[in-house]
Amino acid sequence: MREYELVYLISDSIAEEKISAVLLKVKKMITGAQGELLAEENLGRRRLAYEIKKNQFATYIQVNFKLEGEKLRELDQDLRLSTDVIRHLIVLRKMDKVSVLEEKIEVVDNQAVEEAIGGERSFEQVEGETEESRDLMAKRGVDNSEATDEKTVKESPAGSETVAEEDKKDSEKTVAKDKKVKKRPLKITEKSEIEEPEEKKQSAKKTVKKAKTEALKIEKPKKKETAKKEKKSEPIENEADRLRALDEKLDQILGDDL
Amino acid sequence: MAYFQKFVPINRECVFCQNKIEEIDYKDGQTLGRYLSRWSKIESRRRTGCCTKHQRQLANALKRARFLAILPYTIN
Repeated sequence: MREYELVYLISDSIAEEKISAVLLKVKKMITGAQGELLAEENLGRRRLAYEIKKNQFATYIQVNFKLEGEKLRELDQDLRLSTDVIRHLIVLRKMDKVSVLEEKIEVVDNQAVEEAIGGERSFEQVEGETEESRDLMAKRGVDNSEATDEKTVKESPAGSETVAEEDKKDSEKTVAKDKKVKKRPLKITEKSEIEEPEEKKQSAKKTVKKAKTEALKIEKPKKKETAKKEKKSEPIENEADRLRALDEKLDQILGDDL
Repeated sequence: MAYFQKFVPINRECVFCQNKIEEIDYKDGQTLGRYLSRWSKIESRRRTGCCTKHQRQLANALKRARFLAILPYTIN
């Protein structure tokens, strides 16, 4: 249903008393086509700018109505065939901003419903992500173990203290992995521990030859990288758990609905 | 040239924009008649001073008004 505006001219040859009859006829045309009358106004008898069917004057009448677009052609045809109406014009009224907004809201609601119905796709995607993340986690774990082994081998000449501290770190990491709790404070402790041995190494560098210092420099970034990897992997695990929980919840809800 | 310069609007801003008219009424012959030339031709944007949007609407409204014999197509 759309809103239209009709303006038609009634021939001057029709007496004033009979104009109301013409109005009724036109109204019936609109309501007969399952239209909805909104407003009717007599704009009065006016002098025409040019002759229409030998008429110098005509009464202008404006009707606002709602109608299905398919029925518009029938109404147009009826008006054209009627001898009382010498000219008519049907114009589509611009939609108000409010009604446009309402339509948009309806569309948005439909989208939300569709998402809820076709939620299986999204679940699959989420599962895929989690699997990928698991694979990545496994790879990273391997890398970490390898990196730590290398360090222990290379850094043994630098000093026995560093090795002991690293062992501590490893133990802490394992504990953290088992717990799977928010490990932000633990991470900070790890960082501080990493920084301490580096300082010791720097003091050691002065005594040891330049070649060895270079090797240590290369090793430092490796350590940092491993630390970063751990930081990244842990939140992903948490996220994965959260997503799994959400999936279960959604399954329950959708199961009830379906 | 002097003839054209006489009719160039002093105020450069669109009249319909100033009065915040969203839709130009095709039934209002008095206001629409101002935008017709001496020979009842639709005036150009240069003469009317309308913005693009309102010039388009104005031309449409004038054509509708002509169809309903509110305004003349030509003057003999």
